[in-house]
Amino acid sequence: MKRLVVMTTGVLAGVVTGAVLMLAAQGISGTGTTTSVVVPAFSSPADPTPSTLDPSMSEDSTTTTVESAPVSDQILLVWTPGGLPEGLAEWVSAIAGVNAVTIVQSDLAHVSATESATGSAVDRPADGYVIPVEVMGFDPVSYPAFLPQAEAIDFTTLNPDQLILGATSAQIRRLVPGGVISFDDGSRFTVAAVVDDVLVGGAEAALPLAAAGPMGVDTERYLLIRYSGRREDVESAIRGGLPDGLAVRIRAPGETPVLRHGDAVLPQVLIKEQFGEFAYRRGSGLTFEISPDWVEDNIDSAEVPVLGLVTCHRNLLPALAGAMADLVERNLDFLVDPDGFRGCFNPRYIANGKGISRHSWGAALDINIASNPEGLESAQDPRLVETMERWGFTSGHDWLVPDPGHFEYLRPAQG
Amino acid sequence: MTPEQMRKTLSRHLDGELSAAATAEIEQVLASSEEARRYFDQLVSIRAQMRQETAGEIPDLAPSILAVIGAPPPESRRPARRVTLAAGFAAGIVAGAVFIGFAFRQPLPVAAADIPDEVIAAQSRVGALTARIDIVERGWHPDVSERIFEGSIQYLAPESLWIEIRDTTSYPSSAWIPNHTTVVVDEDTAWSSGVASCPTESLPDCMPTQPRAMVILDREPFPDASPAPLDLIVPVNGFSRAGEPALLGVTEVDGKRAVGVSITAAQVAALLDGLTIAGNWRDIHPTDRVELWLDEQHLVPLALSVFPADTSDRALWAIRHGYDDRAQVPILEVAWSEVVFGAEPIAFPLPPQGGAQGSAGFTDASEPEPGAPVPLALPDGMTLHRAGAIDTAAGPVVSIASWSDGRAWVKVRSTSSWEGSHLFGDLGALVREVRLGSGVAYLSEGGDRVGIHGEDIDLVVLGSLPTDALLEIAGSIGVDGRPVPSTWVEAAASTLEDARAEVAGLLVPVELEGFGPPAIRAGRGVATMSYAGPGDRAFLLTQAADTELSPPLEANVRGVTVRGVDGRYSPDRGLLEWVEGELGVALASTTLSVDELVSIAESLESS
Repeated sequence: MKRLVVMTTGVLAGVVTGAVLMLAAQGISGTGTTTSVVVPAFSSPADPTPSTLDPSMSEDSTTTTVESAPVSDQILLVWTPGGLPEGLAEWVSAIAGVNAVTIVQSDLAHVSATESATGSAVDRPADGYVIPVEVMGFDPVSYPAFLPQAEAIDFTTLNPDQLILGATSAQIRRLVPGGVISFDDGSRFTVAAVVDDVLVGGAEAALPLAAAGPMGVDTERYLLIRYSGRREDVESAIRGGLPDGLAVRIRAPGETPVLRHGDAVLPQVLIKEQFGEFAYRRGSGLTFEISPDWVEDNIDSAEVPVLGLVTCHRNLLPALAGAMADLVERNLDFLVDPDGFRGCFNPRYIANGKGISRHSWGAALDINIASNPEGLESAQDPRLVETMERWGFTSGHDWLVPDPGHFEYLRPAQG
Repeated sequence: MTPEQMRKTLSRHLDGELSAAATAEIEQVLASSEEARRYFDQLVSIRAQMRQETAGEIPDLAPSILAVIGAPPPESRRPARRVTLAAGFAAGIVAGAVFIGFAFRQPLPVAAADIPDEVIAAQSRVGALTARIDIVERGWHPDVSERIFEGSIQYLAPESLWIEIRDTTSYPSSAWIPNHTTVVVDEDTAWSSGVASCPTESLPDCMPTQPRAMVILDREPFPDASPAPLDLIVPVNGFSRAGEPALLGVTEVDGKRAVGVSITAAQVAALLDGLTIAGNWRDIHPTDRVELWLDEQHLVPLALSVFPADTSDRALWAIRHGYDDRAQVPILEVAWSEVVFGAEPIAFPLPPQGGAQGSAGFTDASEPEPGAPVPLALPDGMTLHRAGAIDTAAGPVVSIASWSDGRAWVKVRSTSSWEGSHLFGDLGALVREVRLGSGVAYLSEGGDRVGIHGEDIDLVVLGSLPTDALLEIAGSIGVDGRPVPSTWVEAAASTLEDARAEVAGLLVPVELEGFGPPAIRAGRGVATMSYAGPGDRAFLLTQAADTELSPPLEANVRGVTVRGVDGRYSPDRGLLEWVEGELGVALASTTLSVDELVSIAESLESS
């Protein structure tokens, strides 16, 4: 009898152990998920079926996070409205603690056609129309010092007939390396590489200075600085050396969505990502005519509280209506003068003609404009500014050149 | 080496996947270890069974199990009670193992190694298919936590497909427009219809009230533009170059035996993209985990569930997209049911009137253009499918000819007027130079395109076949490939030896599973090696002499320990960087998690 008990105990223990070992040998966890597929009934979110997560899929299982990445230098960006003062790079280079400086140029250029890597047409605007793109010019000698070595090679090995696309731009362009972009000045470039937006300062395309200049991409927009030591010392030295009254913005990575000039607003490429890309035909002065197809597909008119009938991008209308309804709900609608509304969709360049107004996408609006002219301090009620910001708009009130009546899309509404 | 590592190594040895050095090492182990030899012999036997019957009989694993648990051999002299206990225990182990083996009907992990080859071979077995399709999507919008779809999919090899999806979701109000979609590909015509997406935060007011139809006419055979019908039926692209997938087991789906594998969304990107190409759908992260159940006989999908990857980087991505995903709740579930193989689909619907219409510029002809390159060697059963030319003002005149056995396909595109400063044929930035006959050819990173720069012709051979087959076909065309001009980007194509000469102490992955051989570029003190895996899985390994990392341009970076040193990871860019000794190393990927990159980093060895 005892022998039978022992034998039975052994068998039972063995059955359990064998089963466990078999499961282990088969590489399954025993949670039952491997046979849980019932078609076409699906898992209910309220009662989620436990799933066997492969431990290797969890970063915490193998990746050890350390406090900070090991670098000795830091980076700063310096920009001034309308372009840098002459000679800025030279004297910034001489500041104690500054180890490297590079100048970045940027302006609009106009695409007349694009081809895939196999030579077939991708974008071919109608006759007379071109696609505006923001092109960055970089110094192939000094700029790569600001890039990870893995990507610096793309910037140092460009041939004269090649350019680099930012990732978002490549997505919008539907181009990969090998694709070809023709500009309206007759120049033609092959896409040599597609890099993260941050490596081209949020520009759509990047060219060496020698190729960018002849295309009219020659406005010196910002400096990148590598320095060691205290940021306050470097920043103070830079500010101290600038002409009196010249506004300057000095930024470090993380203080702005993309390290670039005009950093209070989204780069043009991200506006395109959100609201689409159009081709246009130049008009007189600061105006132009956008492709009618694009306008038909994207621009809409609707009644919104407080402002009445507005014409904006269809993707902006819900946030604008939400912001105005929010004001009404809190009895703050008196903060907006309907007569001071100066519109939303309005295709035109910005005042200096060197960029495209966000009004062209129907992604910006002007409110209380009479009492808030460009260049003067804001007279907007802070509660209006706060409400608009909560609904995803940035206000021009704290720009280097203030434009307190101007609000434009920056981020999804928080509601 | 752990028992699991040993098992995998023996399995790879059986598949002939080990390097010469590793083969010599494992043969030494086999010669000296009876246990290893016994396991290997079992493996050979089991593999033979698996090739005939995927879920074959459960083999006698008692010796292995006894070895694993250290149970004494029966002949050892021990007290009777212990012998009895041990004998019962051993018998129980075998009984338990056999019970579990049969009850769960799990194939042994070794069969997993065969799945990629089986999927690739299966493309020639599915000529036609009709199925019902059911989809549940979760997290698309905070106010619509779950959307439910039903529809049908119809496929006729090699390049006809019709997916009709109807949205049966109960939306909060009529302001929400149902996401009905239609996708039709019928040789030279493709069209789709659906309500375009708009930003989540602007829904539902931003939704267009009417679906938009897009029609493309005059398509060349098997164009790059998605969807590729074959990828939606047999996920060939997702298993080319694949390593051994993690098996979920075998179960029954809609009355069919299905084998399950756990992979990532990047691996089946072509399948997921094809299903959601029209209309508006939520985004899926490339590292999300996919449980894919394939029909055991035909290797077509029967069920698919996408689970959010359980990483902090994925969680941040979800926040940015406005998704409230939970790790154990699938964000997308797709089921194919009422699957009928070989059924002739009904007539494919014609494009709707009034939609945006474009021409891809291809003119069909009954045979290849005069003078167009034609391969002399084609796989058995392959006959001319479609041929003709693209002649538009926008690009070079391109002759195109395609062959198919009714399912698998190969295509030759050629031109005598190529003016590009890179290889014709969209081979990508990094290529591999290979000998082809008396000349040279260039292989794309994924090995799915063979480019040839001839004296007065440029051509590319591509298709759904493995690299070796494509090379054989390209070699039979008879064009003597020349090296590309020195100004072309591909002139920097290098060998591993070139890279070693360029960068002292170059590191290379050892026994890397699931990726093909690298395309290499070496010069100016930098070596870049590009590895392509199945689907969209890929990574770039860059090395150069360096003593410290450059400061980051973005704020969202974190320190990570890599190979015993402090490195840095940028989740936005999928970039892992570190410096060891005097070597700066970077691993970049938009489709692999930081965990996988760290694992690859750990596998690097100085060559």
